[in-house]
Amino acid sequence: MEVCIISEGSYPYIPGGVASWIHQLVTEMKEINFKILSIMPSEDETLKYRYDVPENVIEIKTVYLNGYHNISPKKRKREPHINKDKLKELEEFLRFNKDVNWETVIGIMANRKKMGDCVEFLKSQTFWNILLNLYQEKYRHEDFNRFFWTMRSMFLPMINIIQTEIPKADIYHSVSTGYAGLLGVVSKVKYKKPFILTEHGIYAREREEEIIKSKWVQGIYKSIWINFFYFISTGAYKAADRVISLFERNRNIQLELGSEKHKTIVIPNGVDIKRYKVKKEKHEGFNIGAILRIVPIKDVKTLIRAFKIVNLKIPNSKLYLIGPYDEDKEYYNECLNLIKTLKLNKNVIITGRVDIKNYLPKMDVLVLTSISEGQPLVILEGMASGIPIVATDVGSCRELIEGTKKDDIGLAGIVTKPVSPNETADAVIRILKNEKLRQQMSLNGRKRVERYYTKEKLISRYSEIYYELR
Amino acid sequence: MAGIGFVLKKLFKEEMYLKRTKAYIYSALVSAGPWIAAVITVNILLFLTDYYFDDIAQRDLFMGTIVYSFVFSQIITAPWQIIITRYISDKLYIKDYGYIRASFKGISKIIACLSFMIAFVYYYNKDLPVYYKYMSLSLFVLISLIWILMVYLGAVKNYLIISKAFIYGGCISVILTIVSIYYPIPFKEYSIASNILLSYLTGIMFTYLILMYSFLTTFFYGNNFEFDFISYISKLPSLFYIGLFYTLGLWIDDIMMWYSPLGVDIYETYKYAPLYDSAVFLAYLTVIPTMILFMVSIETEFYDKYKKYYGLAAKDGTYEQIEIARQEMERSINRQLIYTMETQTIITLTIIVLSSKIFAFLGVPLIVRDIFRISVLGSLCNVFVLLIILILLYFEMRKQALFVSLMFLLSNAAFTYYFIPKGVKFYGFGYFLGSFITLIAAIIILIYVVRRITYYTFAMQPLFKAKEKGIFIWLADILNKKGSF
Repeated sequence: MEVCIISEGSYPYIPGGVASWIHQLVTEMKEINFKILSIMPSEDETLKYRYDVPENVIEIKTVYLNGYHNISPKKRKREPHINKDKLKELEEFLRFNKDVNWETVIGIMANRKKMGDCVEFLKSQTFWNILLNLYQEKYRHEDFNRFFWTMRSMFLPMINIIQTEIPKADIYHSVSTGYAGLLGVVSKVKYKKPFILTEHGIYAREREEEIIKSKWVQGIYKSIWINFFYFISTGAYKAADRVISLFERNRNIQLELGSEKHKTIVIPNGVDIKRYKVKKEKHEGFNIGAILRIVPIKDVKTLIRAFKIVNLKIPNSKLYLIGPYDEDKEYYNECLNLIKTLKLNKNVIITGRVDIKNYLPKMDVLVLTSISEGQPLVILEGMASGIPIVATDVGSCRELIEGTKKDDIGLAGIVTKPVSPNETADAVIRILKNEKLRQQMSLNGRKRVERYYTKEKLISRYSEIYYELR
Repeated sequence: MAGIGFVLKKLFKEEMYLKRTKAYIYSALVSAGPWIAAVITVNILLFLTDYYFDDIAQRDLFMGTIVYSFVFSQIITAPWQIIITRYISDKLYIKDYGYIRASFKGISKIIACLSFMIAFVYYYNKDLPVYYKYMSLSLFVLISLIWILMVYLGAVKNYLIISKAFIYGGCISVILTIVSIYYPIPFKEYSIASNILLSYLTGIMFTYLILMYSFLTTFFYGNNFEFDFISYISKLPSLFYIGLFYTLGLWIDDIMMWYSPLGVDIYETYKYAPLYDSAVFLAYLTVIPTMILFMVSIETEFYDKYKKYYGLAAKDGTYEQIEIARQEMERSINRQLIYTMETQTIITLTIIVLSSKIFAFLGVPLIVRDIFRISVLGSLCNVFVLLIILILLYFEMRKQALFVSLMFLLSNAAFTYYFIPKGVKFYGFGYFLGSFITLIAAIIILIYVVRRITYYTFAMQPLFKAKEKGIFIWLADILNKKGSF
């Protein structure tokens, strides 16, 4: 069996939760041959594989969002050869109408011979007429030039991606909606093969947050771009044979965004529990660990502030920031300044990129103050290692720490509100000061991971789905 | 096209007849001046020699030299002229003045080499005295270089100096001719032809020097990128061919007629058709009013509408505002074209009616009059073909302009070829029909384009920047690196 995994901005080039997850999947399912279709923003000579790709990955194809640069921009316009009904459907698509027939539309768009390539189509009178109608209906008072260019720059990479040559496989598995989901839909329509969608976060929500904060889009164009991402995500939800999320909360959002209930499944992350059966190391004082990249989304500043409060009460405590810090230099420097201002230099240790297994044995508690998460692997790894967790109530953190309704194992840590140093500090202090509680939480965490979040569970469920759909 | 437009607009605001007349005279001077001055000069020279000598063969020799120099210098320079015009206006627009003087040096070198080689090969084995060949060759190179200079001075609206240069040069030619009638230089052979040619050549050289001086004082600074403009042939190849096809189209009927029964062979050097050529030359003169009217309207009313339209399209106009501006622009084009067409038609018809009497009075052969009458109609159509090509280029509709110019070349050639065997009565019909049919096509294309111009303006924009490729871009790089030939 051949499974084509479609990833976006991740495996095998960009390490992170999703990429590690893919790596785990392909490494463990030795009997299946994988092909990787990796979508990256732009061609970059410094891109290199960041994982030891196993042998059962028989092909890695990389497509670039700006891959249209290989087409001549001066191409003449060409009108698409499509009949009136199909044209109508195409128009509904370009207007982000949610009731659109995706199969028809993708069938037209993916056919370069009939539709023309992205440059030809965006120059055509057909596209112009559709755009003009939309403009006159909804955006009459906006300046036309910007509208025209925004729409063009939106459809340019999209159409080009849709027209990508997709590797042949028995099953297509996208690891996000967005452009990866779009390619999943295309492969389903084109090759009539099953399409599975696994979402770690909620792609459209993430893009929405990004766009709202961004400076490169302004005014109505923010909402147009946001609608665009929700729209293509919906297409993926509708076309997918299985819509998989990591936890209940995300599943509900997927349902809200248009996936059908009977297709949705929750399959949480899994860890190699043997690997994390660590022996605790004795040490002086207390060690608080935070396994994270130093970037704004992890809200490291709140963590540092919380640690200041902890440190005032428990002076022999140390905070370990474990993970890379070179992604956002500016934020990193701000964190360094904060540490200096709060006079914590001696008690905060920044490790950089290291093997976390060397640090887990000497941690008394793991803290996560992220403002947004999916299902953080580091929490699962921490729990597997028997370390109590303090984490904000985002993503599936609560589910991991407190368990779902049906599980009676008990707490593996404490859940706090995001951006509240006091609450985080209180939780940490409670755990550090109460040896018994710490031990209980440690046991609970390990038990929960063993029961629900093992690598074996994850692999067997996916392999079930693969064989069932084939 | 802003400088002169400003002056003209001020003139037109005063709704006084006198001021308006002044504006037209000024425009006439700037657009038609050089052409009229050149035709008048040559005719005065011919008249003077006719008056004092009756050696028709030598007169024809001189005439042949002039015709060939004018026709072929235009054909070889026209494609470059249009490329250079675009190059200069782009550089002026981004205020990169250094490139202008540099490109002038570069293009002058190319044109000088090209015209020298062509003339050299052409005259090499002709049976003419060496001094006559030298002078003919120099005349050809000089006239070619003057066409190029005029492009530069025209681009910065130095029309007045262009006219002055031609008038002064013409005066010198005439004076020297008169002097040479009394004190001829004793050339061994073809003394008369050689003397007027030398006088004419001296006048032209003077014209060239005046233009050159004016150019050098206008663009006193230049960089080293002399051949940068060559990249435009790769970037905008259609411009090159529009210039080539239109100019070839303009002369193709003449060249074909040289091999008709009207053609004469002069000293096995020049083959031309004096009767046909002079009829057609005169016919060209009749469209000068249209050139003037059009220039005035382009520089004043149309340019305002054009600027407003593109301003809205490129900046912050809503589609409705853009569309209103487009309609205003469309109306302006229609109005101006119809108005000039009406005026030109009246002028042309008047000239046709009057031509019998005038030509009879001047004792011009009947056949010239007949060819003239049909050629006048041809020129009427042809000048509007040219104007429409210019308007299309204003809108960056190069492919369409290329189509029109190619169609003009092909239809003129085809119809001329068809009518040559039909006999003298049909001479000139080829030019007329070719121009007429091209004009109809050009009007249809123009209407089509102007209605959809907003679509073209937006949709035809390249979606992203690509690396420029092409043999001429490569060539420009190499030549620029070497500095010069």
